[in-house]
Amino acid sequence: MFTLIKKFITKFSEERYFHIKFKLILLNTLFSAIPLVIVITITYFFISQIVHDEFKNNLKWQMEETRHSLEFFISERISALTFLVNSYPDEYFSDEKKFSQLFFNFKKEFEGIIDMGIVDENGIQILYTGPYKLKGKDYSQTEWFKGMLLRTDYVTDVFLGYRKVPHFSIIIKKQSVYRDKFWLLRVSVNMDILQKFVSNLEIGTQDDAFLINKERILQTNSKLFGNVLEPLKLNNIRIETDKRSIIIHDIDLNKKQAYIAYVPIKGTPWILVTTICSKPYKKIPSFFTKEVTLISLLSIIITFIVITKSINTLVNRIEKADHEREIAIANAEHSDKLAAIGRLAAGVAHEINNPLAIINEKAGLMKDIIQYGDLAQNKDRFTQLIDSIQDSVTRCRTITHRLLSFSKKIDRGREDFDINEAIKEVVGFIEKEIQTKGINMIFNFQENLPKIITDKGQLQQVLLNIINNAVDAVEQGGTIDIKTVLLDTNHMEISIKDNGPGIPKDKLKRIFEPFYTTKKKGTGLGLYISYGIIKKLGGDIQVESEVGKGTIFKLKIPVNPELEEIK
Amino acid sequence: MKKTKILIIDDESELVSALTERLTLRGYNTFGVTNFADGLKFLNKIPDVVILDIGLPDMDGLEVLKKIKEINSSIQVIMLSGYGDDEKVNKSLNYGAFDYLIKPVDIEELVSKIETAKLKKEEAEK
Amino acid sequence: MIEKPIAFIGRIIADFTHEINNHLALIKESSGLISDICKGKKSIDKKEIPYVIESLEAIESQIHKSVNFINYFNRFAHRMDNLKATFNLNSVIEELFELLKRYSNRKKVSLKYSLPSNLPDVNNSPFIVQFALFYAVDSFLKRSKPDTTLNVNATKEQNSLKITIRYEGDIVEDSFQQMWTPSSVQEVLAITNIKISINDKMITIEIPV
Repeated sequence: MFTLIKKFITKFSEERYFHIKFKLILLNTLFSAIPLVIVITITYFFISQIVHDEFKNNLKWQMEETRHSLEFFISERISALTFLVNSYPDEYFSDEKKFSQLFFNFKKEFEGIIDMGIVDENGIQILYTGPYKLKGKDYSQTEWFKGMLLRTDYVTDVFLGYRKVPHFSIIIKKQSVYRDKFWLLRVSVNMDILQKFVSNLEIGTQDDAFLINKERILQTNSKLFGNVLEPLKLNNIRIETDKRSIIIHDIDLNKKQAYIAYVPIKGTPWILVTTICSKPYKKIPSFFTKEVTLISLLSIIITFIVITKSINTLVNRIEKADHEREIAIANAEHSDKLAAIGRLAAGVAHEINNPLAIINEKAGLMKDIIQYGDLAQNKDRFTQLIDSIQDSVTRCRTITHRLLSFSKKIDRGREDFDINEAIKEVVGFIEKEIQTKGINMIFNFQENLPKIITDKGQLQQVLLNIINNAVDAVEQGGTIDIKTVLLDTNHMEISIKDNGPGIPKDKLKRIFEPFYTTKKKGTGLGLYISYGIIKKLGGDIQVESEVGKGTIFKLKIPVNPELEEIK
Repeated sequence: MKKTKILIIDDESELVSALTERLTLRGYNTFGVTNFADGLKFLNKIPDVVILDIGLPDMDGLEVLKKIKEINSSIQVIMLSGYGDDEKVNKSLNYGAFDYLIKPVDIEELVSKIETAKLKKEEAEK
Repeated sequence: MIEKPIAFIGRIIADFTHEINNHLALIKESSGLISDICKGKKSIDKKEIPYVIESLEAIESQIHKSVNFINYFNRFAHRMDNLKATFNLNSVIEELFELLKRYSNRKKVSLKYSLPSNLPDVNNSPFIVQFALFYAVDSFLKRSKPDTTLNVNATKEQNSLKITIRYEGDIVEDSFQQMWTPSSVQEVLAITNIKISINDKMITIEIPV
C-alpha cells in the first residue's frame, strides 16, 4: 500500500505527462461534479425544508387533536355535571344512598371519574362516594374552593390531596335558592386519564409529551423531565402561557437540536408540551439521500471514468506527437549536422582540387619543356617548377590534415580550445566558396582570450551555419567581419557581421523559428537548431539587422559553463 | 596561318602561368590573367579562344562569359570547372560557352577542343 | 539516434585523407627525385632525362588517381545534403566501396561487387543506406582473415531491393569490439523502413522501393 503511494508520488512529480493527466482529470471531474453536488445539495435542503415543514404541520395537527380531545373531555364532564346538578333534585345530593347511585350511574357513562363529593359553603365535604375515606374533609383552604366562591366551575391542577394519589378535580357550583348559600359538586379524575391523552401523540422514543401547569409543575409523568408534580426539569425554555395557538420553538436539548411545541388547554390550567428530539422527518428524505447519493455517485464515477479515459487518450496522443516531433527534430538536427559534415567534406574536395591541378600543369609543363624546349637552358626553370610542385603538395597536405583532424572530432564532447583558432578553422573549411565570391574576410580577434571549454564540434557547427548564411547573403566582393571579445570573466562574444542586404524587421523576429527560411533550398532549421545548440551550451544568440546595411549575429557563450551553473 | 590567339582567365596564378607556358610551347599565342579587369585589354584584341575559370572571385564566371560575348560573340569560350559546379556549367553552355573541361585538365584534350573552337570561330566570322 | 552512426563518416573521411596523403607522398618523392637530378649541375644530363620523364609521369598518374578518388569522395559528401533523396543504388554502392577499398586492402580481403545495371532508383535516406552498407562490410572486415572475399550482390524483389553481402572464408572467433549493436542498427534503419538480417556469414539489406 505504501509502495503504491510512493510510486504515485514519484510518477506525479517526475513524469510530466502523468502530472498533466492527473491535473486535467482532477479539474474536469471536479468541474463536472461540482454543479451536480450543488444542485443535489440545494434540492436536498429544499426537500428537507419541505419535509420539515410537513413534520411541523403534522405535529401541530396532532397537538391540536389532543388539545381538542382534552378540552372536550373536560367540557363534556363539566357540562354533564352541570346538567346533573341543575336537573336532579336536591335529595340526590344530600342522601348518601341516592348520591352513590348517581355516582355509580354517572361513572358508567363518563369514564375516568374516581369519586364524587359534595362540599358545602364552608369547604367541608359533607357527602362523599368513592374509594377513599374523605367524608368530612376540609377543603376551605384550597385554592379551588376559594376560586369557586366566584366561579361556577373549576378544573384543578393535578395534586396529591388527602388520598396521596395524583389526581385533579372538577368542581361544579350549585347556587342555592338562598343567595349566599351554595354547595359544590366535586369529582376527581385520576391523572392516568391525562396520561392516556398525552400518550396518544405519535412521537418517537426520544420524544416527550406532557402537561404542565402555569407554574411549570408537571401534571403528567414526563419521560425525560421529571415525574408528575415535580417541577419541569427543562431550563432556559420560555413557555409563553398566554398564547392561544400552538407555538413551536427550536431548542437545544442535551446539545442536540430539538423542538418544543406547546399549547394551552382551554378551560383547564394546563399546557400541553411536546419535545421532539428524534428527527423522524429525517426518515423521509433518507430514501431520497440514499437513492440520490447512489445515482450521483454512480454518475460521478462514470463521468470520472469517461474523463480519465479521454484525457488519457488525449495526453497520450500529445505525448506521442511531442515525442515524434522531438525525434523529427533530433533527426533533422543530425541531418543538419550531417549536412554540415557533407558540406565540409565537399568543400575540402573542391579546395584540394586546385593545388592538384597546379601540380598537374606544372608536371605537364616540365614534360613539355623537355619535349619542346631546350632543357639545358631551362634548368633553373625546372628547379623553380619542382619547388612550386612541392609547395602545392604541402598545401594539399594542410587541407587533408585539417580534414583528418575534423574526422576525429565528429563525436567529441567537451574540450578546451582557442576560439579564434576554431573560427579560423571553420572559415578554412569554406575557403573556396569565400574565394569564389571574392568575399573580404576581416578577423577582429581579441588577443589572449582564455581557452573556452565546450563542445567544439557543436560550436563550430553553429559558426559554420551562421558564416555560411553570411556568405550566402553578401554580394560578390562583400565583407564579412568576425570579431571576438571577452565580455567579462566568464563570457565571450563572437559577432559575425556582413554587409549583405539585411533582414527586414518583420522577418527578423522569425529567423530562429523552425522551418522558417527565405532560401529556396534548405530545411529552414539551421538557425533554429543553432539557437538550440547555443542555449544548450549555456549561451545566447542575438541578431541585429538593418535593410540595406547588413546583419550582425552576436553569439554570447560562457568560457566555462560549469562556473555558470554554480551561479 | 595566323597563330591561334588564346586568353586564359583563372584566379590561380600558378595554374595560369603553367598553362600559358604549355600552350605557348605548343605554338599558341597565349596570354594569361588572373581577373577579368586585367583581361579586358586582351579581350579588346579579340582572341580566338578564351579559357575561363567558372569560379572567379571578383566577378561571377557566367557574368564574365556574357561580357565576353558582348565584346565579340564569335569569341569561343571554354569553361574550366572544379567539382560541384555542374549547375553553373550547364548554365554557361546555355549562355553560349563552347565547351567545358574539369580540372585538372588533360592537355591533349584541351588542345583538341581549342582546335575545334577555332574552326567554329572561323565559321562564325564568315 | 543518428548521432552514433555518424561515426562511420569519420572512418571514411580518415581513410580518404590517408589515401590522398599517400598519393601526395609519392608526388613528393618523384618531385624530390627530379630536384636531386637538377641540383648542383649547370644543366641536366641527357642520360637522366628518362628518369625525369618517368618521375613526371608518375606525378601525373598520382594526380589522376587522387582526382578520381576525390571524385568519389565528393559524391559521397554530397549524399549528406538531404535527408531523403532519389538516387541510384549502383552509384552509391560504387562510391562507398571505392572509399572502403583501402580498408579492405588493409585487411587483405577482396571486396567484390556485381550489381545488375538496371536497378531502379531508390527514394530513401542516402546516409542511412550507406550506413547500412558500411555496417555490413565493417562487421565482416573486423572478423576477417587475410585472403578472403566479400561478395556483394543486389537483386530486385517485388517491393524492395535486396542487397546481400556474403563473406567467404574463415572468421576470427574471438569477440570483436562492436561499434554498434545489431539492435541499435536495426533501430536506425527502421526510421526509413530498411530491414537488415544478420547471419554468421551473410548480411541481407532490404530497401523498400
